[in-house]
Amino acid sequence: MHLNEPKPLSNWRIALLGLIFLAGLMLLVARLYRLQVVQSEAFEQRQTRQSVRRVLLPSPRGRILDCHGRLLADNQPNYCLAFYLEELRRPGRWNNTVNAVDQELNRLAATLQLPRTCSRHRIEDHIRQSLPLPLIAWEHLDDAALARFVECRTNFPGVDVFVQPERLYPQGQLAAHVLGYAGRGDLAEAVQAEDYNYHLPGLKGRSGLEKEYDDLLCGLPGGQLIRVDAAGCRHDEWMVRQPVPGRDLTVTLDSEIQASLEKTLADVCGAGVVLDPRNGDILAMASAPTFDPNTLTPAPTPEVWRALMQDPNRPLFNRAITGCYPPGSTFKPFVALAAQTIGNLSPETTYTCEGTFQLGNRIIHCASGERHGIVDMRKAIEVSCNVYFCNLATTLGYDAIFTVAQQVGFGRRTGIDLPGESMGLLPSANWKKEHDQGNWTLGDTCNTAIGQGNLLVSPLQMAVATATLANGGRVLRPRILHSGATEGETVSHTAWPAASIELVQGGMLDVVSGEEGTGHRARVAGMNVAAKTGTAEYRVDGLPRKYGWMISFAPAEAPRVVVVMVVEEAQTGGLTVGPRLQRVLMTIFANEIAAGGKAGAS
Amino acid sequence: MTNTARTASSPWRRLNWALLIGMCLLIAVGTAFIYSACSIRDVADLQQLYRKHATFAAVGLGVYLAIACTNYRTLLRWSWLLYLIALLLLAAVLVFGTSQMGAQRWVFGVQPSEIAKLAVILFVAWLLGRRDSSRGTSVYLLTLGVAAIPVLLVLRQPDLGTALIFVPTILAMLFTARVAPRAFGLTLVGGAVVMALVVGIIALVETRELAPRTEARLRQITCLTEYQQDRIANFLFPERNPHGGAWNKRQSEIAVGSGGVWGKGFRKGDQNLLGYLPPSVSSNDFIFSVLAEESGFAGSLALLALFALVIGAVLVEAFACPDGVGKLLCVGVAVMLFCHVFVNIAMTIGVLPITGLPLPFISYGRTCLLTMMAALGFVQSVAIHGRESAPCF
Repeated sequence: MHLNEPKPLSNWRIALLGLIFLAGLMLLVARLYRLQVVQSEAFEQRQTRQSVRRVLLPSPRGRILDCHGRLLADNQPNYCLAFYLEELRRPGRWNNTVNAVDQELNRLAATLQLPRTCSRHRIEDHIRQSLPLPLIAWEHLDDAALARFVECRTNFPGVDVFVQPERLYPQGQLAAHVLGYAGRGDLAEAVQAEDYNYHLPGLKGRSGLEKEYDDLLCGLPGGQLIRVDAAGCRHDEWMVRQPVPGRDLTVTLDSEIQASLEKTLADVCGAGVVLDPRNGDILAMASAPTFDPNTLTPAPTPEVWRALMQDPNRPLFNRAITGCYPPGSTFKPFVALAAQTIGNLSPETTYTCEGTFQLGNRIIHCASGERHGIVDMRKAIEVSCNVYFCNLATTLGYDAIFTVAQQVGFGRRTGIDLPGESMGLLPSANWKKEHDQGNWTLGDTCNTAIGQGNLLVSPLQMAVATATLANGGRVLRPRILHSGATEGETVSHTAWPAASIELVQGGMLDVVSGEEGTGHRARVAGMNVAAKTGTAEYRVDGLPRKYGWMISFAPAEAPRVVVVMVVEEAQTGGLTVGPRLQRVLMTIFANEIAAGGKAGAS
Repeated sequence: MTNTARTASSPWRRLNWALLIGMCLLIAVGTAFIYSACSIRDVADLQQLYRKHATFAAVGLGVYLAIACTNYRTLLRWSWLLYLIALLLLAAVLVFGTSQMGAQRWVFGVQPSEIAKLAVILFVAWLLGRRDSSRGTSVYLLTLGVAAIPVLLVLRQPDLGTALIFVPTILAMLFTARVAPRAFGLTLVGGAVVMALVVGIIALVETRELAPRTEARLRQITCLTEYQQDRIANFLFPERNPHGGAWNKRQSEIAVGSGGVWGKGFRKGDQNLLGYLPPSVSSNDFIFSVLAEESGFAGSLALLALFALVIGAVLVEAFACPDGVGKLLCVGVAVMLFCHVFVNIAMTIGVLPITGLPLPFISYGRTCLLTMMAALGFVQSVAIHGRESAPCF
């Protein structure tokens, strides 16, 4: 080394640089520690939030079967063709992808020989709103179209068959009002409640059993997670919760009886209920006119819907539980019971019928102007004597009638497991005052006693009341879902003396089998049928019309069924409803009648 | 490594192994994560980026060894030539360069700004490090001038990030060479004031409702393009534009943060695979996000440790080298390396505004890789030949 050379560069400056570097590295480490250790979870959540979409998957809906296991509501596969956009994605603007899908749609339409059902507009909407989901291009593919697609599917990447379950009512119109229908449901509430981003269309019960038991039928929707890439296309997916299929429901309906009941009502407006008086099982329930629920699921076409809405006879309206009718003379057996059990009036008490009953300036006639002469209670039921019951009612007073009517369930819901049941109307002095119709008069008592006036009942209420007569005083809660319990649910016991019930039952037996019985048209050979006819008058646009009623139970000695029918615009209960009731009873007891006939022959 | 080892005759005995192995490990890590980052590219060519990276690393290794085996004193005598070539190339970029994302950075397939960095370091080391160099103000100004020409050319591209790398590098070399301490101090203070002014103006313009004319005037004073002002503003006010320019920053932070302690696994980073980290940047400027997401805090630390090893080795050589040229050369390379690492990682984790700076050896970028390897080749040459007699200086 030479002496005159300058000092070598000092190393402390380099060391200082090294320290600065170290400080810089420490800064980075600290920041990385904060991001990757301290806040890692928050960043993971942000990552999930931006890339994971939750999809709600509807579960297969439960089926509905009748008491013999016949299918009333079923599911069928709806074969769709779906476009998976993540595979058809074109680089660049979304418009390129829309064009590509559009072209593929045209190409596929030509190959399948199907008209295009998915517009360009829908592709754009789909990309905007539900990009990670498959785009349904065609629905309800038939076998031929499916076969053509399977043949050429390799030419169409990104297109696949997609199966959507759909509701099918294999018996068509049968029990339409009871079953109701399931329509395309926006599971929007569930989507919001559980923070789902998307949901595939599911079905939601809109009326009838489908609505009442929607919770059981629809099962538990499944959950799917879809990971989407930065463009929003599906990257992969995985199931977080398998959909739990809905429960199959077995109902108490008997499709043979149901079919027979509907057939007898096919040409009229009206309703009918067949009920087991031992346990309250609804064996059949019909309302006419009816509809085909298959046309309403998943959604009715506008034409179908308009036709249903504009029909003056209101086919969607379930007259059996929602319809309210004055019961007419079918109310008389309950008045007779009230007289015996509360009024302590002897059934042997007779009144003389001259064809009219005068009350002040009002005259009440017996039907067809008949004079029944001297009638006791049993005879009065058989011939449906208005004069007798007006006399009885004036003696008895309205309170007793009201009490019994309330006991058997008039004026309140029966509690059947169907939506939309009406309460009917059991008038009282208070009700009349509240509705500004003045004080309760003796005329009101007489009117109500013969089932006119303000009294309104639904066919189902009538069936439950009739069952009370048939089973010895038990008021049942009618049911449609087959619970397995044989007993049925008793709402209350009336505590009527057996003798009183037997007298009324005897009178109703005479209605069918007696010489002058008003219900003789319902007679079934080899079977004792107890019934009561009723004809209630009403006016449509000022013109008089009649509701024809019949309530019945059979076999009279050990009743197994109660049949109640009402027909609008009838002649009389006996004339119009009698033959119909007979046909229904023949169907119900077909086997026994055949067996009885054989036994008699041998 | 001891001095006895250094003085042994074979160059291989005096090789700084930490430098070589550290570099090779970094390149291997880089190749692996470029593979991960480019696997989702839809163009087949781009899926093969990692191969190109490896290929260029092989070429670079040749260059590295060639430089390492040659005495840097001999090479640095020609540093003025490299400097001139770099200037010519920079000028060529402005005339017929290809542009990408609003900046003209390439010419003849190379990025001259990368070469210029090394050329300036070499030239300045030669200028300041010789025993007969003066340490006066005139040399100080000359050095600033030497650095200023390429900086201005790079700024014209515009490439603010690369231009900014020159500043600390040159300052550190001047500082180490003890050139004109008073002028140096003045420059530091002045620079700090200018920076504070620029940031202050941008903050003022962003936060206050100013008259359009005043705003335009103020923006003009900063001498920055709108795009560069935007980036600084995005950094200062992240909520300013969550979907525009700040997308990369946000997604990068999510990638790094969601990686957690141990990472999501190689080629399993969602941010990368799902394209939230834009594929156009994930293999170069944002490669660290991919690495941090897939290998977690542990991987990030390991990478920083590797860089610390390499930079540390360069500083050790600066310490050990007896002559000024070698010392300054090593200091320049160390500062350049450190600035790249620091700025790149800092921007991907939201500490600094986004500037287009690659992560040395890891990011895909041919010129950058070659330049960095050549730079380390020079350091290696200092390691091998530094103890030899230095007749020319």
